[in-house]
Formats: sequence, structure tokens, C-alpha cells
Amino acid sequence: MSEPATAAISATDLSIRFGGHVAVNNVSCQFYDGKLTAILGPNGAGKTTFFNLLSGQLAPTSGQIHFYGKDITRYSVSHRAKIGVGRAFQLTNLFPKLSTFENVRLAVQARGNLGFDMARLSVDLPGVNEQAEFYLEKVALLSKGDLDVRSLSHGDQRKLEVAMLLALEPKVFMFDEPTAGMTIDEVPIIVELIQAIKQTEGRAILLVEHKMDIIKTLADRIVIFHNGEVIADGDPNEVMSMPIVQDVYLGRALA
Amino acid sequence: MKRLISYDLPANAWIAALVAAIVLILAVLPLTTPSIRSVNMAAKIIVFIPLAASFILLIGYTGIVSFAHTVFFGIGGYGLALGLLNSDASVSGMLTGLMLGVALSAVFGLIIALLSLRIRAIYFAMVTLVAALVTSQLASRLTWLTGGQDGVSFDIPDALSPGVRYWTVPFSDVPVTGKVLLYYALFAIAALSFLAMLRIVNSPFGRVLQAIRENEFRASALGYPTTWYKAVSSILAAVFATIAGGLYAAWLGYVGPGSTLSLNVLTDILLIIVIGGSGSLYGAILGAVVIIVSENYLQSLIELLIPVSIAKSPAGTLLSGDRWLLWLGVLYVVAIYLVPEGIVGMTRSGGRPGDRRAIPGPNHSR
Ligand SMILES: Nc1ncnc2c1ncn2[C@@H]1O[C@H](COP(=O)(O)OP(=O)(O)O)[C@@H](O)[C@H]1O
Ligand SMILES: [Mg+2]
Repeated sequence: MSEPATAAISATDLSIRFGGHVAVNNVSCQFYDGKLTAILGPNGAGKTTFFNLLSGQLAPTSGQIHFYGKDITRYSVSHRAKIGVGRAFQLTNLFPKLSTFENVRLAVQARGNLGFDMARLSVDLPGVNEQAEFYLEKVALLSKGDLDVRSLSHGDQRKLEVAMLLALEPKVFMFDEPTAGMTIDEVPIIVELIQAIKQTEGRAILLVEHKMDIIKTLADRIVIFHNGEVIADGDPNEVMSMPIVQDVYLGRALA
Repeated sequence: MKRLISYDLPANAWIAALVAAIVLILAVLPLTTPSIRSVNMAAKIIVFIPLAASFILLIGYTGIVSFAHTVFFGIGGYGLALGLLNSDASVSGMLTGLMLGVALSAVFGLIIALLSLRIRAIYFAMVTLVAALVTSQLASRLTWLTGGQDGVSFDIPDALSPGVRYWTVPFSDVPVTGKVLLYYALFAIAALSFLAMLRIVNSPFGRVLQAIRENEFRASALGYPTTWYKAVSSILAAVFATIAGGLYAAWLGYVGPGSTLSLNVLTDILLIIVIGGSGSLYGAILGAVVIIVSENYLQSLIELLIPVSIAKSPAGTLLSGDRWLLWLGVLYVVAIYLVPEGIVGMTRSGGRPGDRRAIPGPNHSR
């Protein structure tokens, strides 16, 4: 790539092997502030595994990860989250028996470094409760704040997942199929939110998504994964018209 | 008032009323009855409430299932006892002993937490059970330090001993002795401990503990170093259990393996948690009352209800008062079936509907 700036997050020769199976194979990729990169590829291509490597849930077999030039390959999951590597999960991954509001508040207080505060009460924290409500409002869940998360619909849980990522206010946003399983009328709110993040200064967005219309609206760049390797990377229109992409991706997964 | 209990009200009005009634009875009991048996029972309840609450902090809020909790209770008892023995029964000696115990427990609590990260749940539970038994054995063997199997009897500071008489309650004619004063010291410290724990579980820290229990993977993805949270929580639970152990020894004027470290104590704690539920600290209050009262009175109650003639008949052996432990067991099994989440858990969901009502405005200073 020709961008002069330091990448927000970058992978260098990144690989992970599960037994004999190489799920991510020698991937080098830089992601920059202000850009939304859509990551595409058939199921099992290694997209989620790539995210797991970037956010630290998995340790690579080889290769490095840099965050604004700093080597974070050995950082723990929580450390990466603290410095601004934010992640929303493909399979809904929440605190099911806590309220919707509490789920978001946990994200807000994590950002505020308030976790070890045991002398004050959660209800008293200045600003925290208001911010939690602010982010719930953004995904239209404010009215459901008191409900247990396990009682929410699938679509609402997906929205909550997004609200928690927003509440972390990270530098790097990783969305893993945020609209999967949502009803058609729930999708636009997510698209608008991602659009709004793009407009904020100094944010890099990585988006795994299958819906082509969403990608057309949002993507500045497309990276195609196949069998753990990056087989195409570049301008959306160029990438989508490459024969190899038509073969492996459009031919199989979407047709 | 609501601040005092950290806006964490029992889930339902009945339970709230029950808790209030229990606290009230415990608060006035020694002024209304000269019955030593009742007052001893009340004191045991007072001690076991923070003990069980600290276990709920560990098991219910942090999800660490450890059977080594009696170890902390024992350390508190022995710490206080040795402090008094080595200081001619002075208050400062008592506090020093207890503080040393607290420090030792904190270290031990940290070790427990680190072990729980290394060993998977079921093996960890077994390891902690072994640790509890080994500690009990150690206390029985290290006679020079602990008095061995017989334990240690010691003198409590004069001001708190039964021999000192301060006053006589006008209507009940009950004498207010140093022992009654000691009762209220226990009550105050236990209440403070309980309120402190209530605050901890309703603080940002407590919310993180709940998050870890629910989904540790996700908690770390939000940026919480879960290992440290577990360690701190385990240390806190250990500290509160140690304080409870000190209170119990002070009340009994005695500490021994049987009163603090034995399986009976562990069984008591577990029964309290099962009956009261581990989802809320209030479970400790209800559970402690149910279990300790039935231990004390089930035998008499059965003897009272079942005439001797029936009890003596072959079919009646099951109904004789000596079988109270059996009936406690039955009560326990029934409780597990009927109220799997305990009395308090029964009506409470994990979400706290009250949470958002109490939000102060942005310019609220606290
Ligand atoms: N923890 C794991 N252990 C073993 N194999 C895994 C693990 N995680 C992912 N894989 C394998 O890696 C491959 C890529 O999976 P994944 O990253 O989830 O694909 P995608 O998100 O692109 O659909 C799959 O073949 C999957 O079975
Ligand atoms: Mg995936």
C-alpha cells in the first residue's frame, strides 16, 4: 500500500495453525485511520480467526501485530482493549443475566478505568450512567435497558453488541458480521452507526460482512480471504471484478 | 437508609420485611432474654452472616468454588486467640492478632485465586477441600502453637467479660454484662462487614465480578484483566471470613479445630448458601437464620411435636428428636428441589430493575 501514515493496526506475516490446519496463512495487511476495510470470504476462510489474532483471543504461530507502530503481539486481550483495539463478536457474546443497561455500563466503566473502584456505587458514577444511556439510545435500545439480555430478541442482542463496542470508544473497530440474522428493518440503524464512526476522526474500521449492498455503501477497500490467505486487496470495484474473486467467492458463497 | 444498603434492596417486599425483622430481633435479643442458649445462638447467627456473605462474594459473584473458606475462618480465630494470649488479654493484642491473621489470609486468598486459574473447576474444588482438611490436621498437630485437638481457651479483655456488670434493663431485668457488650461489638462489626460487602458488590468492581461470572471471555474483551479481579475478590472474601473467625473466637473465648476448621463448619456454610441462595448477599442472612435455628431447635421441636409413645415405637424411630440431623437433610434436599436458587434467589433476576431509577443528575457531586 502507498499510504504514508502509520497504520492503526497491521498484521505482518501473520499465521496460526490448528494442528495440521493453517487457518490464517502468512497474512500481511495494514489498516488505516479514516478507512473502512471490508473483509470478505467464504465461510471458514479465516476471517474470524484473523480478528481473534488482532484482538488477542488467539496467539499467532508466527508473525507480528502492530498498533500505531507499537508491537502488541504479546499483549493480553484486556490490554489490547484498553489501548483501543475494539471488537464486536460474530456469535453474540454478552452478559446474559445482566440487564441491557448494565452490559453497556460495563463497557463505559471499562473505558473510564473504574473497574477497581469498590468504594463508590455504580449508580453514583458521574457521567457513566448517562453515557451508558447515550449509547443505548444510539441503537434504539434505551426502552429495553431494564430487561435481562437473555430475554432480548436476536436482533436486539446484535444491536447491543454494537452499542458495547461504541461505548468502548476504541481506535480500531472490528465488526464481525454485525447484521447477521437481523431483520431487514434493523439493518439500516447499524449501517448508519458505522457510517457515523467513519466520519469521526482517527478511527479505523474492519468489517466482516456478507451483504453486498452494505459493502457497496460503506467500504473504502476490500480484502478477500480464502483458505486463510489474502487473495485480493484493493479498491472495491477493482477487487470485485477480479476473476479470481468471482471464482472463489461470488461463485460459491453468494450466488 | 437506601444509601446504607447500597440501593441493593431484597428483591421482594416479603424478603425485605423478613430481613428487617431478623435484624431487629438480633439487635434486641440480649436485652430481652436471659436465656444463654438463645443469646449464643443469636451470636452464632451474627458471626455466620458475614462468613456466609463472604463465601457468596467468592462463589456467587466471582464464580470461584473453593472449600478452603473455613481456613480463613480458622486463621481469624487463632489470630485473635494468640493475640490475646500473648498480650495478657489486652484489646491491642486482640486487634494485632486479628490483623496478622487478616494479612496471612490475604496471602492465602491470593494463592487460592491463582490456583483456581491453573486448575479446572472440579479438581480445584477437590484441591481446596484437601487444603481445608490439611489445615485442620495442622491445627490439631501443632500443639505448641494451637493447643492441638483441644484448642485454646483464653481470656477476653475485662470490659467484655461476663463478670463485669454495667446495668440492668428495667423491664426484662436482664443484666447488661461485658458479655452483652461483646455481643453488640460482634453485631456492629458483623453489620459493618455485611454493609461493606453490599457496597463492594454494588460498586463498579462488583459489577465486573458479575460480568466475569457471566462471561469471562467477554469481560476481558472489554478491557478487564480478569485474573486480577478474581485475585482481589478472593482476597476480600478471605479477609471478611477472617474477621468473622475472630468474632466467633471472641464470643466463645475459645478456638479449636472443631469450632472453626472442621467439616461441620464447612457444612454449615454450604447449607446456608443452599438455603439462602448465592445470588444475593441477603441469602446469607436468611440462610444463617434457617440453618442455625434449626440446628438448635429442630431436635426440641421434633420432640415437642411427636409424643414419646410414638417416638419409642419401631415405626417412630424416624420421628424421634435424635433424628433431627436426618430431617435437616430432608429439608435441605427439599429446598434444592423447590428453591434451587435459594430463598432470596427465588424472586430475584440477575438484572437489577432498580438500578437506573437511582441515577443522580450530572451535577450530583457524589
Ligand atoms: N480454535 C480453533 N481450533 C481449531 N480450528 C479452528 C479454531 N478456530 C477456527 N478454526 C478453523 O479455522 C478455519 C477458519 O475459521 P473462521 O475464522 O471462523 O472462518 P470465517 O470467520 O472466515 O468463517 C475453519 O476451518 C475453522 O474450523
Ligand atoms: Mg466468522
